[in-house]
Amino acid sequence: MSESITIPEQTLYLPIPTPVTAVRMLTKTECLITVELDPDRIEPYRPGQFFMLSLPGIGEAPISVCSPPEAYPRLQLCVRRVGKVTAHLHQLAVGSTIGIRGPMGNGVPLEQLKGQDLLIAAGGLGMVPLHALINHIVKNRADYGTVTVLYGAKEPGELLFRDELLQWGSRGDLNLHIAVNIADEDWMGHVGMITTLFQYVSVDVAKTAAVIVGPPVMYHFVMQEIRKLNLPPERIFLSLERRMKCGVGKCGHCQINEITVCQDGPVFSYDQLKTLPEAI
Amino acid sequence: MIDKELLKDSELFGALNDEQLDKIAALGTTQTYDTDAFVFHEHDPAASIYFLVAGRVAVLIDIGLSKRTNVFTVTKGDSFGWSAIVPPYVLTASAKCVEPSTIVSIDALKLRELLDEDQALGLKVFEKVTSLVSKRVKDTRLQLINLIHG
Ligand SMILES: Cc1cc2nc3c(=O)[nH]c(=O)nc-3n(C[C@H](O)[C@H](O)[C@H](O)COP(=O)(O)OP(=O)(O)OC[C@H]3O[C@@H](n4cnc5c(N)ncnc54)[C@H](O)[C@@H]3O)c2cc1C
Ligand code: FES
Repeated sequence: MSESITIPEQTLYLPIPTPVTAVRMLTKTECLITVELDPDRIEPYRPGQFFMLSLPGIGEAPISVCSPPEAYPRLQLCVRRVGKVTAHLHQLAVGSTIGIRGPMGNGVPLEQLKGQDLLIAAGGLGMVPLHALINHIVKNRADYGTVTVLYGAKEPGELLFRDELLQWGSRGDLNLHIAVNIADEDWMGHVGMITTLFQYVSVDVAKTAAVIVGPPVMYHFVMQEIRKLNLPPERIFLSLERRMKCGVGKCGHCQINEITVCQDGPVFSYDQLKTLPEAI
Repeated sequence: MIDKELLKDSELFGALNDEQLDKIAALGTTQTYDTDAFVFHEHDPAASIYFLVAGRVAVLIDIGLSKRTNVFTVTKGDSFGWSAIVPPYVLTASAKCVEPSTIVSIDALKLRELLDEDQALGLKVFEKVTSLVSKRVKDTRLQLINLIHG
């Protein structure tokens, strides 16, 4: 008799020692860390979910899933160096071990996106979870209609996954538009806020869903453009970033009114957020 | 002289009536530029106002030490070089093609004379210039906000 493995909820409280298999700098401040998850103790992940990465004696930080679900049990994480924990994560060497709890949160509703045209907007580090989603789409391209990706970064040096951007841009079945806020004279691409890329967007309202991830200031201005497209709020998905501690809905750090971003989110439909004006 | 149909795609002149378009079209010429070719340079007298028919143009600002910063991308239908009809008629940025581009230029001196003579036309064009400048200011503010808070 075969029994299916159920991973106890308790696992989400315990960091699982996990080996680091690759570390690569992507930009001056972001590195890509690859780890090999233990499939008996950590279940498969989805784009939009996150893991709590911990270093004993240093601390813990929530970091988004960066690789597509197809990569499991391999997991990639892209970490920007901003403070204590992330600085130590940047110093990890291949063969070292980190503690991992997760996957946490709800993730992008992949089933709901199937069969839809997709408008994906990534600002800055928002490209990390969307990198997982876009790679999933690329691997299952027939499941989706027209796919348009808008990506905004502060400057060309901050663009993540440059090799893949080139590949996506030359595929022919993915419309990729990149904007940087400011550039030097050699930059041949578009300069302006991500909002200026909406001039290239035309959507079929009946079958388009939007997925947007970026810093709070980006949501404010991108939503002004998204509203002009008249997409139904229940087909617009945003991922919220809030300070987190437990990641499992217990400590209240990430609470907005009655919801906890770590458990109920971090991905919400605009429909859900309309009743939470302080959310974006 | 250019085909007035071209002007209908321009954000600055697109809303003019046929008679007004004829007058503007009489002042226009179409030029093609290679990648990396400059349309104009910052600080030069503004001799023409332009709009982009095809291609892409970078708007660059001198930051000293022979360096320039790329602050804005002109896309199809956008007008640029509007300093040509706003005193002191000196270019506030440089424009460089980042793709092979087709650009309409309108002689600024003759345009200013025309807008002086035909004040109804002048009002319409300046309304558009004002909204264009206000859009640029808004875009620049967003860029600034994003650089600081993004
Ligand atoms: C769901 C979720 C997913 C995330 N995914 C990623 C990811 O994929 N890659 C990545 O690099 N980062 C991600 N972050 C942010 C990351 O968790 C923080 O940058 C990290 O916890 C900072 O820890 P630290 O000890 O290095 O910095 P600290 O010393 O704690 O802080 C350094 C600076 O960063 C600021 N900061 C800390 N945490 C946050 C936060 N959550 N939001 C905004 N500013 C913060 C602090 O105000 C301070 O200015 C994510 C956060 C959340 C909530
Ligand atoms: S992080 Fe503790 S409740 Fe969300």
